[in-house]
Amino acid sequence: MSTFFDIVYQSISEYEYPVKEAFFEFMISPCICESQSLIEFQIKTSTGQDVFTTKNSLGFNQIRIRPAGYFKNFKLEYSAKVRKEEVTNIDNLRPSAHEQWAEINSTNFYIDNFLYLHASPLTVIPKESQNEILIYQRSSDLLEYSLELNSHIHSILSYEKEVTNVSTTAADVILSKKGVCQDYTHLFLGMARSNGLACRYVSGYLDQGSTYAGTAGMHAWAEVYIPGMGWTGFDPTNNCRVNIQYIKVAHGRDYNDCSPIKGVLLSIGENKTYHLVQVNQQQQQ
Amino acid sequence: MKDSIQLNGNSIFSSYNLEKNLYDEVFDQTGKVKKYYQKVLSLFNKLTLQDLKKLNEFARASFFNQGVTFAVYSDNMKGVERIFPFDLFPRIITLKEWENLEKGIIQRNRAINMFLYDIYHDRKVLKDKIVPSELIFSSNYYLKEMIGFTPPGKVYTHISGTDLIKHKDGEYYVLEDNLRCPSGVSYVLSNREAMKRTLSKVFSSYNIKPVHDYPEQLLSMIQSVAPEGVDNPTCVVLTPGMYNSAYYEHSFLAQSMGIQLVEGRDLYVDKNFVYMKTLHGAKRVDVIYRRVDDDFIDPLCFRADSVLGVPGLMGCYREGNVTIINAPGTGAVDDKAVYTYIPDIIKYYLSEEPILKNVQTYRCELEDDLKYVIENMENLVVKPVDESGGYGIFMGHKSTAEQRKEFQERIKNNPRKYIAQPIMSLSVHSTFIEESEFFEPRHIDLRSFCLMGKK
Repeated sequence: MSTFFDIVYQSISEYEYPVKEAFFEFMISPCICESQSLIEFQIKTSTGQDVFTTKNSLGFNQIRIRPAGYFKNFKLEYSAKVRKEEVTNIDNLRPSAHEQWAEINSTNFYIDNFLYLHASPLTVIPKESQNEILIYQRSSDLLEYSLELNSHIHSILSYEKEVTNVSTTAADVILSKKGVCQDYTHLFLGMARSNGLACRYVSGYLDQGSTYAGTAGMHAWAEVYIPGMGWTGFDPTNNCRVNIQYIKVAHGRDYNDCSPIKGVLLSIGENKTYHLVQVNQQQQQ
Repeated sequence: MKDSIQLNGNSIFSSYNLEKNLYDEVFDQTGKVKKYYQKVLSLFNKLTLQDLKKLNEFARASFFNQGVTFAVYSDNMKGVERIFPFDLFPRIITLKEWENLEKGIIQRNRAINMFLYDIYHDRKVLKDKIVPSELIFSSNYYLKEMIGFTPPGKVYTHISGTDLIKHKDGEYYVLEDNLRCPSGVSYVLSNREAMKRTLSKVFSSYNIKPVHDYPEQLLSMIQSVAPEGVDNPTCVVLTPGMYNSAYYEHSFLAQSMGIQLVEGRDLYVDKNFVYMKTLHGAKRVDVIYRRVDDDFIDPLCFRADSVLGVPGLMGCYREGNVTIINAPGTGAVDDKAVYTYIPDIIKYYLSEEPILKNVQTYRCELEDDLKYVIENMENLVVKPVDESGGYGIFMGHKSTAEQRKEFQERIKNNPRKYIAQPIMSLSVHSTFIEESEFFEPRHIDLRSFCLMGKK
């Protein structure tokens, strides 16, 4: 059975002095994957130029625009309709813990997945904090470990807005013990990777009809590779597994690979950017 | 030994000091001039010191007037420009020697190019354990943005600069591969020009292979890799600007190819194409021969603080709308630790024996090699794997005990960063030394340039 979502993403920027030239890149478009399809989308901009799209090196859509002329504010509105399918439970397809470890520890697995096995700048955990890491026992099952790690991170961090920013690292979070979804996710990735697990950062949308934390803006969670099951989503912010209410946009090593907006401006003075996100579930059809 | 050199009266070679344990390119062990240097030596022997000094001044003035300069970066001097030093006495490479070198360089660079394709696609060479995967994945120059992408014609290293030396055994060895933005070719061309002007007689005595057509060949290579379906590609040279050490070369190459020299701010991206701002409006750019490092070419992909590049360039590249020369990410092979595997890489992809030799290299990341290096610091040259232009090199035979100790610590703290090589005895060549006003032997190496386009 399908579930439909209407998504609206708005980015509004205001500049102190007129901007002559700019280049923006948005990664806000729901990706097309196994359980998810993009039915339609629309993009409106305040400056009138056409947008164009390209794919980043991992295959995710980037919406780009080059507003030119003089402007003091810039607004982009993206709206989309997404269909999600319920995923059948494949938990029991995974092999024994021993076989799981043998697979993710093999040379070929490492060569194919090194991006998600190496610590990245935002997920590195320094030596002095290593004792904080939840240790994976080789004899334990990867799904069980991931769930344990998920609740561990959920329990040691407290959800607080505006205490961290996009350059906050897992190393910072392990000390301050607070933050928002990307901080929870970076710490999850840092700990899992320290244990030799392949995992990736995911950005996306969360159904606002749910009771989850993190629905106001774009959300972040983690995916762990579990042999037999494939990439499996965990949300440490909400201490749950990813379900039909999670709409994926992109994945990467950490936030830097998935940041919703990047840009270069030719201007001086201050600027402010706001984002508004709406995610509504449609009647089931 | 001096007596054995044929002198013409008061010859300018009369005090030339032949060192027995070095390989001299001009004279053999007994001090006899080599056959292919006889004509040029007899030309020089007819010159008086005054003649020579005059010629030398003339050449210097010619370089100064052409603006042939270079700069060395150091901590206390910010790129002071100097006139490129020029040696009047020509080095001769015989045809037989050159043909072998040429074959070897082409073989080496073909294999390197195949290796690059592989490490950005199936990574078979890593899975077959020919090269340790960690070596590639830990390189700062291995770019995830290039994974799965195929540049036009599968060409990565359009221009490569292979450095060679001749050891005292008379054999050539490859010292390093320069695969990012190798520079120096403009000096080859202006040296040849100066040589023609000052010593025109040499050219009538020898059958010399020309080099003047390099810009022409470079341009046709650049055009050959234009995006699919572009018949008359617009090509540009992208420079970081006039403060770069090789700016002279950037302007020289653009000018001699008859294409535009641009800076990042002259270009912009719109609708997945790159445009150049010109007096007559926007003009689409198809091929960029960039002399800007990977890190700086696109602030949206790499260093966000770069103002030298073009925001959005990598997206246009991935869409196949523009070609970047050399391809980003070639630096993953331009690494002194990967260098040690090149002979294996040649055998793996081409099933051929390497024509050119590598210098014996110890990889500090390997336990046994590290032990050897630490114990034999005096007899080795230790180099950081990721620096170019001679920066950060440790010379064992010239070091004090204290310096050795300090460097040993550095290596132990980051073994992956260092390789070590025996001190190679570079061949020497007769060189006119302005200070002493005599010819003296000086060590030399050889930088080659190899172009690779689409057939």
